[in-house]
Amino acid sequence: MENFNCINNLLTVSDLDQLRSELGLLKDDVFTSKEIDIDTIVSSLTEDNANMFLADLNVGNVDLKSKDQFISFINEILDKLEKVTKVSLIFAIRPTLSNINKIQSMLQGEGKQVYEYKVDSNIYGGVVIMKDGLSYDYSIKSKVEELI
Amino acid sequence: MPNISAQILYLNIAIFLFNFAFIQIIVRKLLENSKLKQQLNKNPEQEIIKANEKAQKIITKAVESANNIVSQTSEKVGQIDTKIDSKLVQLSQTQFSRLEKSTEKFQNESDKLLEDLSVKFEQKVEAIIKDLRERENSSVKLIADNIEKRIQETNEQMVRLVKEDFDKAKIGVQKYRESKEQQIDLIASELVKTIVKKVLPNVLSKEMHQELILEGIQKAKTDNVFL
Repeated sequence: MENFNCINNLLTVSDLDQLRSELGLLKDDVFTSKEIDIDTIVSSLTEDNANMFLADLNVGNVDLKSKDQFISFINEILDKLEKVTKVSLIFAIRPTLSNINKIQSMLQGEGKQVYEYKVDSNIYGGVVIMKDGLSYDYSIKSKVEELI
Repeated sequence: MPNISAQILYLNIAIFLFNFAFIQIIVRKLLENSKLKQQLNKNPEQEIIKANEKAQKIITKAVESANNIVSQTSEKVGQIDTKIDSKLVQLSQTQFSRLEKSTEKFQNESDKLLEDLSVKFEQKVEAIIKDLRERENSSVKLIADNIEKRIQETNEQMVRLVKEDFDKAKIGVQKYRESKEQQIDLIASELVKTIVKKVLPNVLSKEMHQELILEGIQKAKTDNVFL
């Protein structure tokens, strides 16, 4: 499967970490349980993740009677999760919720990546973006240093 | 030599006298004690007060005499100090004037000696050069010329050395200046950073911060950072 709803739904790095952790636990439960049922899935995942995961199972035509198929489906999602790009956005002050929404809407359609927000007053203002080990500096600090 | 009975008699008399004297002393002591006892029995409080007064007087007298001794001693010590000081001053003045005199003398003598030597040397050199110049011998003239040339060379060498030293010093000064300028630049930039850090949070409102963040993200999108 190319696109997973549970992955598309992710916005932040912590969302991704949570989904990874939940899927790991679900996999362990499936190993130990005799059969897979919806209740086990729902109880292992948060509501949003459970809904998206069930939708993905439906789209992927996964047979719940087959443990192997179910586990390989989870492994496929976990592999995809590892490939999701993580982007750190560093601000001088804690961003407001409305601002985060604005940022997320601005970043829609930029490819699947999850974001984490950090605060560092040393950048004075603006934003520093960390992605794939690279730093993109749009901060006031860098502007001041350029002027000096 | 008296006989033995007389000797025994003398001995007995001596023992008697000794005993008598001893008994007298004991009796006297007993009488004194009984007198003291009687006095104490009469008015013990008064006796104590008297004894206290006596003791007070003795202490006061002792303190007075001690103070006198101390003041006399300090006076004497002061006198000795003053004497020593004045002696030391006199001594140092004498030594100083002696030293001054001998230094002056030495200076004068040295000056005179140097002057004499210098004059003698100049006269000698002049005489030699004159003598050399007056001779018709070409080789001697050559020596005179060489001496002059050598003197000129030495002068030139001296000038060159001084110039080299000066250039070295100039380079050193330039390097020092550059390093100082770098230091100043560094300090200035740190200062600006510190000021900006302190001033900006007060100047930038939350709205301005949000605008700057959105501006930065927009710029990052244009730069294809998120692709």
